[in-house]
Amino acid sequence: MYDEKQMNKESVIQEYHRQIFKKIMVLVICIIGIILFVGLFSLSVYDNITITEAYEIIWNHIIGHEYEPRSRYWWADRYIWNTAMPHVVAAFLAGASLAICGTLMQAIMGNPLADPYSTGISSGACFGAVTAIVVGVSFAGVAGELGIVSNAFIGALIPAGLIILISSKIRMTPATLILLGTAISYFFNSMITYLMVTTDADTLKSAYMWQIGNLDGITWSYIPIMLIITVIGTVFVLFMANKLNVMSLGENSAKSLGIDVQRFRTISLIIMAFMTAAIVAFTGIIGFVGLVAPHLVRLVVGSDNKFVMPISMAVGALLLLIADYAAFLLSNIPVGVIMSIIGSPVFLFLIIYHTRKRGVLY
Amino acid sequence: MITDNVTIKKQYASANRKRVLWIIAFILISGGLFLITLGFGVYKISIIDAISVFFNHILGNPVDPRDDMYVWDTRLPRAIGAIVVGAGLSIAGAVMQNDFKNPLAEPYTMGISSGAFLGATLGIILNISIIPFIPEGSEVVVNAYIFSLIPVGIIVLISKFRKLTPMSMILTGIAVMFLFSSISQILMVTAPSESLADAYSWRVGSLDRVRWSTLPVMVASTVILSILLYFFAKKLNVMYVGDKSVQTLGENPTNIRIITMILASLLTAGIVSYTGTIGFIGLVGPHVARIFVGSNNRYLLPASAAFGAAFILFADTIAKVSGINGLPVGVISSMIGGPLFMWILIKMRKNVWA
Amino acid sequence: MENKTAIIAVAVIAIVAIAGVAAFFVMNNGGGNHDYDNIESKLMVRGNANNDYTIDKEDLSIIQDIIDGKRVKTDFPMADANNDGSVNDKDIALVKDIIDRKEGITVYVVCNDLEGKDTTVEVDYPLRNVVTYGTNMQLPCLFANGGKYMAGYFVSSYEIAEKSISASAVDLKGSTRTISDASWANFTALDASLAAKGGVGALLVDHSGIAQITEQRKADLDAAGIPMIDYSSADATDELTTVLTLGFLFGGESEKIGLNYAKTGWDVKEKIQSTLAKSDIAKKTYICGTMYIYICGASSSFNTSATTAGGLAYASVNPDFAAKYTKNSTKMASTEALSNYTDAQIFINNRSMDWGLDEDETKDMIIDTWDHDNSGVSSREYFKDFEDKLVYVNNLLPGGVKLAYMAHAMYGELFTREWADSVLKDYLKMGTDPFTGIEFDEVLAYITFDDYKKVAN
Repeated sequence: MYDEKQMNKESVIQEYHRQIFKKIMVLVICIIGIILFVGLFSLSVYDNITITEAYEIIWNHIIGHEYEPRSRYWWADRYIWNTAMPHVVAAFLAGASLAICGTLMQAIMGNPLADPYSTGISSGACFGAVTAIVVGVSFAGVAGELGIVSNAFIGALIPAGLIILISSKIRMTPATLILLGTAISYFFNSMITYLMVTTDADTLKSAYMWQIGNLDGITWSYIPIMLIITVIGTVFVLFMANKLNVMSLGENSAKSLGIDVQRFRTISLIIMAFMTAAIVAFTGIIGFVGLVAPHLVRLVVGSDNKFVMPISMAVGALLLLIADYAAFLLSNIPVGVIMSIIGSPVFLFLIIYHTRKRGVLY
Repeated sequence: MITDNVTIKKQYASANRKRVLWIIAFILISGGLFLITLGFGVYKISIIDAISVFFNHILGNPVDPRDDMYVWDTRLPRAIGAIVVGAGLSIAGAVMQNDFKNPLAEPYTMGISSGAFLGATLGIILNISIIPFIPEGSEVVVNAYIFSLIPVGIIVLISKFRKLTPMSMILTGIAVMFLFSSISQILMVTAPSESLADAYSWRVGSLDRVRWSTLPVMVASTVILSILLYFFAKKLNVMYVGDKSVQTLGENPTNIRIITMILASLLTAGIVSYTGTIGFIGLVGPHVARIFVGSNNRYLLPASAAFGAAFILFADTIAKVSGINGLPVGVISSMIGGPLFMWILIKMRKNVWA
Repeated sequence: MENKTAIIAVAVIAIVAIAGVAAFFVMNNGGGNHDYDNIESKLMVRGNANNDYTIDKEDLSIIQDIIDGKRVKTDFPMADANNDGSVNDKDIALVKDIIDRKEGITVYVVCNDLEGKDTTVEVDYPLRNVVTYGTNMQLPCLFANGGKYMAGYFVSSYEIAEKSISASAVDLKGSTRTISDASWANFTALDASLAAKGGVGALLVDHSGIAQITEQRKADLDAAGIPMIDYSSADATDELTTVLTLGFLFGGESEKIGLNYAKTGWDVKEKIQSTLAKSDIAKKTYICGTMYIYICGASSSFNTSATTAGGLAYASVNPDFAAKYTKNSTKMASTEALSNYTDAQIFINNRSMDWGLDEDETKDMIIDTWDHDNSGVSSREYFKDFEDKLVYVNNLLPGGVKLAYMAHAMYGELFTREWADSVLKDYLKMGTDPFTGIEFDEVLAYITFDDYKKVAN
């Protein structure tokens, strides 16, 4: 038996250290996992290349070693650097960005079932992309791949813009925000449906595959925007982590603690809109990551947003990489499909768990 | 304030008369739209001519064979189908909203849409039929019908062993919906473009496939189930007040809920397996009807049906002449229904959001 | 957040976003401008100065004339045999080698680039170890007896028609409309594995699938020195050029087959055009269709083939129809779709049907084609005004055969069924791999309403 005084002080310190340790472990595991996947992806195709060979090739490339043209290593080198690496980096960025946006959305909406697409961004992006694919018309007046991406980006920002505009005129509760997002989704979805049923089968398939969310065909030229916007957005969000903790106490408590809830929400929405748009424009709508990753993290490290935010990025990235690898192994089904297969049961579990806990479904 | 018994009875009676008048009004509007829609379509014929072809055919007078072929064989079953779809889905929606006391409930809440879609994709993309020895061309319909009832079946099964609250019923529905839509997605993604396009347009919902040969089942199923549901109207009224009230009257609310849910699901399945999942009408129809006739199911159910029929007739008329040579009615119903629904929700904002 | 911080935050994000987008634009603005002439030729190999179907002494003398100043270089774009920009002795030497069919030389082939303009690629002669993408390129390759030279293929959809694909050819696991990253990696791995034999000889691509060859993949091909031979061969006439050229490049027996194949096709085209020119019959209007209930637009190769076969596109006499059906293929949205167009004289529907069918299979195929179930609605409902004007043509057949049947469909009095059948029989006897061991009644080439009525009972 411990001395009561000792039990209080030492066990508290021990518990604290344990918590920190848990958090660091999670982060470390994620980072290791991510490095591992770079190797795994390189491995998947040239199946006579072992994983050590893959890392060797990567290292050689960095130090500038060149291989005999058209030999096995030469092709593998090209593949790893031009296809596999951007793919993995994109999966990492997408998972991280969506996860942190999800955390942010859940915090400012006070709703554990919110995700980055709750404000209708997904339907706006799809509308932009489908317009470019089906009609060939884009906002920026450019054609082809570029047109699709830029359209999707701009399209994604429209719903967010509308919501922010309206919320500056009318006082809005989170519930009304989501309602508005749903309304905007309905509108854009009906436009998308119209475009898709009036086009030919091949174009419809392209449009459909775009929407499902897949990471195929990503090249280095896509990465800069994704990276820059994700990094900047993340920096902002991490600075806001403390305020988010206060927000999750409830709107009234937050106000009484001096936070301008409306403005805070608006700024968060803007940041999230850009971050999500930057991802979605290139990958399509990958669902569930933004919803599920924050919850998984909270189960392990608790609800302090200072920790939940960065760790959910790592977890989100890892989640998406796993789903992507699974999709790859299953003969190239788009990652969005796999994500929904994994995500649905988890989401359902969350609904049940939260319903039991709070007795009401949001 | 007048508290005289006789005056109250008179007021109540006149209010009811007004409700009946609204129902009749909706029916007349539907009738008018029914005749008008016969004149709409790609084939060039004026509305007046189309209507006269219709009456002449009934009376047995001679008619131009091509006109007759298009008006009587193609457009008439489609118009009847529109009435059945609008009425049936609205009634089912009203019942669902009542059972779950949730204004966002609709016929597809129990996972029927994802079930029907999975059945349809199995038929369209894989050409599999769940039941063997089906005549050619009916696989999709039969598949869709059976699969759409699986979620409901599961819920009914579970309710025999455990007490299920409305919430858990919805959750089970959601669970099955996720499972089914994941499978459907995999099928869609691996399908060749033409099958994918077919499956996609099936889901949007269209009246193209309604023919004289498919009408009998649709009409019979809808009419019979609607009448059955009407018998429950009074009990549904009490359920709307609350489960406890039902119990004080000596009835079991869960039983009533399950029975009406089954009936509504059968009603929906019987429609949706032919036309695909036409959206919004099951959600919006009852709400609009409620604005005119209130929540008393004895008036609400017929009013929903009448309004629903008018709505779908209207949507289909527009659908037939939009786009290059027509659009699926589901596109139009979502374009009109979406904004309509949002407007209703905004109006009801105070009641809906605590 | 304070007002100032908020404004700064938003401004920074906006600037960064714009910077990122700009970076993206810059990185994607590659690609120079190629300005080649659009070359009309039968054999698309440089050195074929007179644009006929072979390279021979006549071409040699034309080149010599250009060198001597007797003819103008710009009149003969293909005279520059080695694509170095000038016509000189080197071209003479190369053409001499080509005429001798010397092995191991490099020839210069004219084909499409990524945008569809003419470009020239370097190909080793004779061409070996090819990889094909797209049915419209794969079949011509096989018709030129190139199956044995295929090292791999992205997708194979027709068991019998494509049975001559070499047994050692690798399935790269693509799909009909896409080449996934993994599939492309399989392709490059194939090239590596063939290093001892010089790697993949060429990537043969059908132009309708060119979107799958992204900038990155083209860069891979260029870096490895793998030529990409891209033709649009869906149209009947273009298909003849493709088979001829591929046969020439494969050399040996393939060259003879390719020539025979093309000549037979050109004879059919000749006969159609001259017979129609002599008779005073008015041109028949046609509507083309595909995939059961899709209507083809003016740009569709089905339409161009039907025009070659002597027809007049219905869109040219009905502006309402022309305005509605502008895309390559548009689905008939309802069974009323054709109701206003019954003055069109024929509806030619195209369907790809594998061969090697026995009697029962033929019957089933006829019924399934004519009475096809389109999501619960039979094709017969869509064509109820057209039944006696509707025909189905097998799209998998050689271009010459398709032209013959289309001409028969439109001008039955001038081009009998027997004649069209005889064209098919000529091809069956030609010795092309896809038809080896195939009898006439194992091929379903043409279906009319009468054919359907006979078997539907």
